[in-house]
Amino acid sequence: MENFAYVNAADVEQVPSLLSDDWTETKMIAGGTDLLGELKEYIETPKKVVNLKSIPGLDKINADASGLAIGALVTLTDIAAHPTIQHHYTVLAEAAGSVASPQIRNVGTLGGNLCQRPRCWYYRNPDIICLKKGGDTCYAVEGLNKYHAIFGGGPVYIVHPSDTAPALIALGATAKIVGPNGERTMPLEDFFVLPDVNPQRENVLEPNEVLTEVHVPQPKMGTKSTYLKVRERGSFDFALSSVAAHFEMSGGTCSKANVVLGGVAPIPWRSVEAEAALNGKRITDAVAKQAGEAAVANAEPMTDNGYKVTLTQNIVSRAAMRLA
Amino acid sequence: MAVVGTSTKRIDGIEKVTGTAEFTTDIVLPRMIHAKLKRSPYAHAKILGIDTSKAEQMPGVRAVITAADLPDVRLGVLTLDEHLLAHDKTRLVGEPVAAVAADTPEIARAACEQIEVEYEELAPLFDPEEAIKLDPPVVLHEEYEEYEKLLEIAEMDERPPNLWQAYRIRHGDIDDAFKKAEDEGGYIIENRYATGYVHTACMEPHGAVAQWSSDGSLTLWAGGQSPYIARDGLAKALDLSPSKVRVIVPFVGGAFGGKLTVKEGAIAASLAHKAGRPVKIILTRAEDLAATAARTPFIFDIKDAVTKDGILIGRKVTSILWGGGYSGEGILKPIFSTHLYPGSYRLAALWVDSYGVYTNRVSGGALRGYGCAESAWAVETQMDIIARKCDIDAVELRINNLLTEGERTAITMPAHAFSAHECLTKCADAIEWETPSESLESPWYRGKGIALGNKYSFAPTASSTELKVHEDASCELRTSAVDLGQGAYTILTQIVADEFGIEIDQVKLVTPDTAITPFDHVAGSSRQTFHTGNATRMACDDAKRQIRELAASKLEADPDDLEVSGGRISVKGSSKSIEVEDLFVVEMLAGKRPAVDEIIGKATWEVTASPHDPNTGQGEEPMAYMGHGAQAAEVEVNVETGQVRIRRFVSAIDVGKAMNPQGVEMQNYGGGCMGIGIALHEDMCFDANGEMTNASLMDYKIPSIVEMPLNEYMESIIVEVPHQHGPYGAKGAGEIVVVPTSPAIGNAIYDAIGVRIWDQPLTPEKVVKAWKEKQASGNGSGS
Repeated sequence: MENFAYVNAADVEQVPSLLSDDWTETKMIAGGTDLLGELKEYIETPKKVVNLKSIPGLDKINADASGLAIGALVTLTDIAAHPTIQHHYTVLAEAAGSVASPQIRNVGTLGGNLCQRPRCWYYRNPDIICLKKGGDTCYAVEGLNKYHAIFGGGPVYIVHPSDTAPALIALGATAKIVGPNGERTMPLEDFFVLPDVNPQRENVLEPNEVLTEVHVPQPKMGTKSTYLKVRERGSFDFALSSVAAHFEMSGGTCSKANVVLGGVAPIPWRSVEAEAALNGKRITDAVAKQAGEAAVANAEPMTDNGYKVTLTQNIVSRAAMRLA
Repeated sequence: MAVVGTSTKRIDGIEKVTGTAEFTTDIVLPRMIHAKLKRSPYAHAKILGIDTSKAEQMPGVRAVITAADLPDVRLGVLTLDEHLLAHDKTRLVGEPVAAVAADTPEIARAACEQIEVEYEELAPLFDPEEAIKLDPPVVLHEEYEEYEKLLEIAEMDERPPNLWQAYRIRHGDIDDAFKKAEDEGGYIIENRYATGYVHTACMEPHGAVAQWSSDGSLTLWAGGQSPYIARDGLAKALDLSPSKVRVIVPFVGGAFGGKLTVKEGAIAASLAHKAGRPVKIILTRAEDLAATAARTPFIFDIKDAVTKDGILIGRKVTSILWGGGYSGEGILKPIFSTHLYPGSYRLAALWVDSYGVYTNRVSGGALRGYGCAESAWAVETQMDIIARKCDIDAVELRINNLLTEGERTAITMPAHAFSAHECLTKCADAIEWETPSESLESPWYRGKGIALGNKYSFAPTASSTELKVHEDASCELRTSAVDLGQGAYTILTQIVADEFGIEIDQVKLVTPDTAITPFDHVAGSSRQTFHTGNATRMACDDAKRQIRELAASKLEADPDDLEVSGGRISVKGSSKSIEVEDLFVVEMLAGKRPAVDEIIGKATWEVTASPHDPNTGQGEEPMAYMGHGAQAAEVEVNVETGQVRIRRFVSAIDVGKAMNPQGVEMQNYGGGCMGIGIALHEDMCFDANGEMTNASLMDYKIPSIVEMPLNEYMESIIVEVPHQHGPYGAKGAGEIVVVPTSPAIGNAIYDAIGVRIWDQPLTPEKVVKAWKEKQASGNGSGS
């Protein structure tokens, strides 16, 4: 890899001043499980890398009556093993526990999981300057696209690789961002942006901003949630398709369904169609089946990824049945 | 206690787990610099010019070479069709066209980017069925007829211009077999199968360190499979006498057939010569996966004639090996893959046309099972289909078709130490074949599958060893056999300990170094235990003979009446004995000559074979031995997601004699794991330009521990039917363990959900598609 300067950030407020307003100049590192690969493969060649692990206090999970506050440096292992999260925010524990491998979960952080770059094989090829890297072509369109988007694609057809993002959006989480002008907070759902808004980035962060914390409201009594993920290997693999489902239940009826898909769109993809098919219904096998069908009714598969439509339909139904 | 046959800790285990074992990448020499390769971005292009001037002027760059700096020599295994650096054309993406040596790998990489290559793009050819045409759209090697070829291929009226291998088997009356099947109420079963693109994906990528001496001799350190093949390859590539080349093999981090050539090593050597400094080259993971030889696909068309009682009476096969830009180590695959067409079965008629063709993709190489693992996919799936068609149990059907000891197969291989029946029945018992799988809750289905397999070990071949006996009665074995992880060093150590009646730690191994250790053909074709094992035993015998002769006068006995064990030489049936040490009384200062200067036993074990007629596939005994094995799998298939889990896995292989039973067990487990990866996950993907898109271990999916069944559901069965020529009766275990895996799993998937997937790997994508099609048509697609 290329040489770079390495700087330890002292506190959150200092971070924006350490970062350039040019994406190519500086990068942040926490667990490094994504960045190191990008550096070694010459996908990124920053002049400076800013270490966030030196910031005290960002590795804490605070659970109280208002919900969960999870610092950006909390590891995926800590999230997956947290008893309150396992019990009340099940979808998040399951999603965090499904990431990669134990070694990666031990160092990989929540902030990194939410802000990781796409796994598209054209993007990850150092010899290809694709649309995502400032070129003018998304090579997946004419090329091999079996792992690419079936929703929300264009002009870039990557899929968002995060497992925790769909889970947190299903739980109604908000993100806290610190930048040169101070702090801002937004629903995590609004944090991610489609490629037709910005083909080169996956979220709203400016080059000198940092995601510092995620807040998750306490789920109402009687809610149920789960995360299902289909991947080719049993571990150490990204989702071909995943679903985060979070249902508010009252008397056997689903009063409010949150259904967010992973691995199928350039951002975590809220399936309003599946939610509509479930809201106000008692979840029977037939309703679950309809939810699956509704989830993929507007899918736009590419040449090689039609099977992902089938997978997505099936796991949405399966998730609904699991929560019935 | 006998050491051979007893589970023995790997002698290289401590070094490996403590990180002290030295691999090629660990070697650091004074003034050493680093090499990187400039590779072709085009699958097929003419090279019009190469301008290296900018790269040469960069600070830290010590040498830049192109084909112009190298001898104009074409290299290859049996068809010499490949230059070290592309000459006039490139024939695959990633083919090296130039190389740089610089103070750091980063500078070398940056310098490669400064090399300007002017290409004229040519139309690429990827489809093997286009490539094999007499009038193909593209010809890769216009000068093919001029190439040096060391092996005759089958006669053809006209050779398709992209074809580099043709082999036929003509045994029995095939038309009569099909007629008989038709006339007598039998079956004709015809299917097309394909294997995928698989890479060895060794933990240690390809690499080498090259250093020249002032006398013009070259030393190369490289973790390969054969120091002598490497030595001769370097000598040819660099136009040197082999005596000027020394190859040292450090520890090897896996090879599996992928480390036979020294292409990178020869380039490093050439750079080292130009720079006047030692040069190290270590390929990146992406280079290793995308640009070193792979197990390229086969397409098999198989048509079987079967009686109504399920007796196979005729088989007709046409196969094409989807070769790459160069014939490489794939050259013999179209021949060796044919061993599985009869396999362990009696076949009155066998008719095979087997071809290999050039295409503009990665060159075909060896990978554990060399051809057999591929043809087993077709043959053993076919056997399952036949069993179901005839409504006969799949184990029983196979047994009914087995050869018996002493018979010859349809390709004249004698059935000796014939253990197929025992492997099959033990395997079936272990997986409770008679008991159907339990039903699971939707969407999961369970099923069982079984398959037989064979793996020949090639001949002609030879191994030599030297065995030095030291004053303290310890022994030093000098061998060019390579331990790639398969455990060869431990087994050879066991043999010496056993033959001399000494402890394991009294045996020292001198590992491959062509300046010191004698010829050994290769760590390949499951041959090391068999051949090097025999040579080691014979070298021990030779050393013991010398000891007996030296001791005879001291003990006043006939050498034939002496025995050597545990450091003592004793007269049989008497209490008279001396220590080995007593042979070495050195009293030079007292004016006496040493009794012995050195005791060195030497031996060469050789197996000859007459090549088969490429037009008929008939001849004398063609191979050193034939291994047998069976595997069974119980799978769980999720029809909604296409995921396949291996619930239970049994591997029963015949090793003749388990030299190190724990080692055989590890082969069963490790081979099973690799076989599971090949069956279910591993798939090199290529885009329309011929470039591999998934050249990383994130995207090229080798199995993880999670893909393996839980411990209690993973069973290793060791069958021991001794081979008449094997040391202690032993046969090799290294490759047979991946041969039956894919068809066992594919057959289990059919048992579970009633669908056949004809092309590997059996990914969730294909399972879901096949299930959907089955639901739509209302029945299975297996016929």
